[in-house]
Amino acid sequence: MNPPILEVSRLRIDFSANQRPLSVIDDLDLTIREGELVGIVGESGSGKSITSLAVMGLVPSPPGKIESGEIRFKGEDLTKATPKRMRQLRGNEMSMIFQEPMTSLNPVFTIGDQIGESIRIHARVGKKEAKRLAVEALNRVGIPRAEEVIREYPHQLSGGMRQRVMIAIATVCNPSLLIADEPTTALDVTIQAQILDLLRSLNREAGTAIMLITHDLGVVAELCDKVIVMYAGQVVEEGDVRSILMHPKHPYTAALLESVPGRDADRERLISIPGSMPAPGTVTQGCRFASRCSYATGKCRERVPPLFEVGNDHVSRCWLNEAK
Amino acid sequence: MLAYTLRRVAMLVPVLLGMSIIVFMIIHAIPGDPAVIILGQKATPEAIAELHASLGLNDPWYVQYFSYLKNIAGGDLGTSIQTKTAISKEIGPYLAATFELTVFSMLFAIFIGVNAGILSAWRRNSWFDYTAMLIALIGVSMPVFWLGLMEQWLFAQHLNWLPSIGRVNARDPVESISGFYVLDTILARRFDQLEDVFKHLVLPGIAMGTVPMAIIARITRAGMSEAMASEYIRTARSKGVHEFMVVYKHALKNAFIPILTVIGLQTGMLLGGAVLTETIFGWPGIGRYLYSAISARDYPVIQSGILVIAVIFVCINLVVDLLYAYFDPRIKHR
Repeated sequence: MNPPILEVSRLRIDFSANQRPLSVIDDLDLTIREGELVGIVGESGSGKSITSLAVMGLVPSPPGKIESGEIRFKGEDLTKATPKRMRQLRGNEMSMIFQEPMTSLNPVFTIGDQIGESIRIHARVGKKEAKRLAVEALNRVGIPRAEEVIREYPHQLSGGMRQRVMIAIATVCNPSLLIADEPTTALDVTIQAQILDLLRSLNREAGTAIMLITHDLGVVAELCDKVIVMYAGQVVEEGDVRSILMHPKHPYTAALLESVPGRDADRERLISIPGSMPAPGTVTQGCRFASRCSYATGKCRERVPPLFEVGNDHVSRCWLNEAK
Repeated sequence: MLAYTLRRVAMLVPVLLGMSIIVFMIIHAIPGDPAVIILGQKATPEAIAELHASLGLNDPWYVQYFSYLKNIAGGDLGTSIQTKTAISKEIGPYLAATFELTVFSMLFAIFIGVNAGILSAWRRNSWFDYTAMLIALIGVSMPVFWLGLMEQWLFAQHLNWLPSIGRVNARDPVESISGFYVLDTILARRFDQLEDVFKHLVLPGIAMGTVPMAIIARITRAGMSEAMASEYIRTARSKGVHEFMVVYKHALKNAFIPILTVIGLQTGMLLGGAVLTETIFGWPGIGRYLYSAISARDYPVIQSGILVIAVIFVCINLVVDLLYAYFDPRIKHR
């Protein structure tokens, strides 16, 4: 097994609303190993994006604040790193791509400027060399006529092309960790497949560890080695992609899988999970999923379940797995 | 970019023609006989007839208009009734004085206004933000003549730090080459005099620059607040860009279009001559030149002065439009 590149332990992030701190991430643990492709799955508001921003040191503050816990990147605790150190790491050792390629690129700078900026921040190279590297990065992400594209502006490119450019910016310094926050959500289905292929080859060929944030279990099944399921700011299930998709051990994961359309051909209606996720700070005791869970017992409403070992490298935060 | 520039320049032609028609009509829109207005009620009929002939007032209006157009195209702006000199000759120094003061005022307004707006947006709802925006509000609301008088009272009369009147010490006049005293003193290597020229610029410059500064600060704050919340700012940070560059490069270039619009409009207004400021500070600029022409009913000067100011305004707009395309490349592709 590869050594871990990112280890988050007991992470707690609070957002203050009206002077009152609300915990949006609570007691979060996760590990990503070198070269691994890990999917983080959950509904909107489950805390997946904020977790990734915390790793990058980009949690908007105020109102956000990392209250406690550690984020170890290659052994270094990022919660204690200086802003300067974080800038050295960002875009260089670890980088990020975002959901909206239409708005994530700066509309008033050329593609070449925007890739070149990343290079020139992290490597001591001249303008010419930066330009050459930018063209190379564009070629690598499969952009035709890269020589011309570096002189163009984002509005002259399609959504899929812009996401490729974002990937080129994020990977131009060969990071060891790439965080992809719903990179295909805003794109056409055909383009989605191309971008996912690109991420896969990046992972296989360059050995970049990828943390893929998504709510699409289909994407996870296709791409990831490992899955982390998040619910209301906590990890509820974590394990090998195969065992989680085939044998989910948490009712929430099972419900998520149930709600994927098209798994059952003769089913007419789409299945949804009744109720909605509790707002931060509203569940003070017991399991956070209890109110929507059809298996919930009195114990679930009273005591917070720990993560139970349910298989080889597979954990689940559900009392149903106790003493099995 | 070249095609965009040519297109914008071509659009000037109808604008300038329209302006020339309006300016031409001024003298004809005044009720009564222009020759009587120019010469006064007691003029002899012979003198009036003579002026009619020399001004071409007996010709049909379109003949008059085209000869007027021919004259201004050739640089002939007419002759002042008061001084009997060619307007094109005497207007230069006044324009230069106003231009120098405007540049100084606008540099002050842009530097302070843009930076205050940026800081306010960057640290929104902080004490700096509240203070800066309160000052900006006072700045736009304050009458310029009052500010000018207060400055003179405090800094010239009370503290005796700065001169209150004129462009330079009257006992040591600048040997004018270009009419721009800053440039002239540098060319003459009179650096002691350059210092004096700068001292004379400070008070009127601040008085004239305060309103533009306040407007620029407010517009900058609004634009920067929006830009800083954009996703490309998060992208820039995720690349490891230093916060200073995130603000001054990534956000500011995006927020600059409305700021540029305000800068252009305010510059045009100041160049049009700030009559009040120029009068209070004894500044021999275009505002006072026109003011005295209006008092003396010197119609050719009024007419040409308006034309010159209008042309300057149009030129500033052209420059602003060309700069738009630099700041936002999407504009030239439309």
